Amino acid sequence: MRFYQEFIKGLWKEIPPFKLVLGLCPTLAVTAAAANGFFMGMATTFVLVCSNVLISMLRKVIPSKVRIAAYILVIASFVVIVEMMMKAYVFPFYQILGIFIPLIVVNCIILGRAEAFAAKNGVLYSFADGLGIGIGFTIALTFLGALRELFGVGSIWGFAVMPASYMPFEFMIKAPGAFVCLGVILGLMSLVGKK
Amino acid sequence: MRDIIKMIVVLSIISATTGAALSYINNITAKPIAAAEFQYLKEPALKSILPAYDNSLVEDKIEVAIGEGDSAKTITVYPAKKDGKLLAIALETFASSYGGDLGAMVGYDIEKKRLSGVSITTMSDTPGLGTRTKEPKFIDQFKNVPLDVTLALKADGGGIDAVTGASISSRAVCKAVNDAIGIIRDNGDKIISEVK
Amino acid sequence: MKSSGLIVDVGPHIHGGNSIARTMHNQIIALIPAAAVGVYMFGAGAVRAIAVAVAAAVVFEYLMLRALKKPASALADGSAALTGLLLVLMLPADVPWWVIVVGVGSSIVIGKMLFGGLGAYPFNPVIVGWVILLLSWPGLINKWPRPNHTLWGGIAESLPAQTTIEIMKRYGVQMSGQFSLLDSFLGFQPGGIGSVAGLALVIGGVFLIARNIISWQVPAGFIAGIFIFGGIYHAVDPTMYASPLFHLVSGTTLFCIFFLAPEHTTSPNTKWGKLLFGLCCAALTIVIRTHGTHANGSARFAILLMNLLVPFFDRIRPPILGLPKKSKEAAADA
Repeated sequence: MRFYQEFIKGLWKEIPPFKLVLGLCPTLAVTAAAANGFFMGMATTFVLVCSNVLISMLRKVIPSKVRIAAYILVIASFVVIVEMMMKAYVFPFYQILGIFIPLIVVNCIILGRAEAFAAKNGVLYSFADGLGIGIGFTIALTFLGALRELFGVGSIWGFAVMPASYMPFEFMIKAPGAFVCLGVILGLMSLVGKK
Repeated sequence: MRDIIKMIVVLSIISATTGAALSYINNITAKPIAAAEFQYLKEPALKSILPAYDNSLVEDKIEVAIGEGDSAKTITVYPAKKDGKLLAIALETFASSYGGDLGAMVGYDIEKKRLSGVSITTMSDTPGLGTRTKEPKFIDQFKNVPLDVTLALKADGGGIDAVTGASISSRAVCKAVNDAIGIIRDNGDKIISEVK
Repeated sequence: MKSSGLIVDVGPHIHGGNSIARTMHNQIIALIPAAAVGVYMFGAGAVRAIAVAVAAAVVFEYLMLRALKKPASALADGSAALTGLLLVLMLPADVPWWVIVVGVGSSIVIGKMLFGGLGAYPFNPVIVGWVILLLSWPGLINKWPRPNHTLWGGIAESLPAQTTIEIMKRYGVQMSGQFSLLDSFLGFQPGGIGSVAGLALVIGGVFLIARNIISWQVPAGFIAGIFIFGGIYHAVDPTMYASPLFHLVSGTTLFCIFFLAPEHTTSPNTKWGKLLFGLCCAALTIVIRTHGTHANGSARFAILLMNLLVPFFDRIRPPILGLPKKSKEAAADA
């Protein structure tokens, strides 16, 4: 039961960019389209789950004085693995997300979960936590990407949904649009959370 | 003391393990990465500079040894064929530019004995300035250049119009193309015979 | 402080009659000449655009007041209608109605209400709305109809309808020099519905200053800045850089000087702050217009950037008198 709770909290109660307000750099930078947000989220989820599990396994071995160094080492390795995998098998997305993938290393969600959760909890729960938070992050990024793509391009996931006469509201896929969208969603989230 | 030893041992083990894992993954992905890079980066560049061809460039590409002594190296040559007849060859040369190495794919039309075109494959120069060397206005100046000239910017006494504000990038493109011209001039016959 | 003519006595005081509503209504009145010139120049299209904008502004404001649980009576102060009117006067007369609605909505919702409504926003909402439109549909809001009247010189017939600033940027100062500055000042130039009519805008601006709605410092600083910085460029090379008078009567400069820059919430409070604010806006306007790519919106971008610095301008104020020496700095920081 606790496994389920640790998993489910990442999907709403602690959904990273909207509730924890962590990991905003990729949230703002790559969400010009739903697919970009989704792949960024998946890459982050992979790194998060792997690093959570490994750090949880090693939590009793790693001396606390060098724990951050050890965590970063583990996280960076997984990020490089993701980068090579993406280059090998989904190259077009690597071309879009390329410069943001190495930045997963310094994404505060991952180090944050390692420090706040995986270092104190068992492997199974850490796995659940990583998976939940990761999927929550993916949902958030995909949602934001879909919203911006819908109005800014007139399509979702590359498929045109708006009528051909629709003139894209390009503001949405530009940088200020990302800030405005995120701000509005954050506001709505806390409005809903209040009740 | 024991603490310090433990720290060193643990960190070393983690480093060694992750290092080993990374090199293993690198081994398995090296080939797909090369294929993907060819498909998405080199192939479009090749298509734009070679006459219409119907062979698979990645299958037909050959390694040719050129130079002697210290300057000896192997280069990769992409032959463009149509109905089995060799039309053109393309090879990639590099020159150091403003933000690092700049790669130029240079096509050579065997029949006309002139360059069929140049395309920039990799560059890390300033977007909006150095990257404007990719625009047709600049890069098309290298079309139909014969092999007996050495290219240079107008500012350096040559005939190439530099991209405004990006003379370093423009010069690097000239240098890469000159290198390619040199290679084709000196080794053209050898390359063609090896392709066939 | 004698010069201010302000004598503060012990209470009770009589209310001066000034209010938000009076301020807003006077600004709307001051815009009537410019709007009238726009209607005369561009015909029924301008009437339609203004009607759509004002109606949309009121509707958006009402919805936001309801959503934010604020009294709907705030609608009566006219600030929403003024925002809509200001925005539409910068747009071409034949712009599609939905562009106006989106622009006005962006102004009211994002630029104004989400920051806390009247008096709380850091950026001029009108310019926020306009920038959002510019980022989204630059082709639609920079496509100017020709004025109905043929006073607009003969050479213009061979050119696409573009603002004199665009002509200056594209064809050089020589070309833009062929347009009569007087024609431009009277409103015979392509541009936004109300932003072309220089003379009408000056009349409106003088009316506002005379009625004490806006203080004279921001417009004065702005105009002086245009002459100083535009003059420096012009003096360096008259064949490369246009004259300050050209800068003053072209594009939306006068509109910005009298209606956007002195906006109460987003301009400084102190005399010297206002003067300096105007000067800095002018300097940025000239720099963006000369070297930037968005030459058409130069004055508006300048104001938007300077809005950011308004809190710093507000720190320019006279020292507080009569404090013990030590706590003076502490008081200045407070």
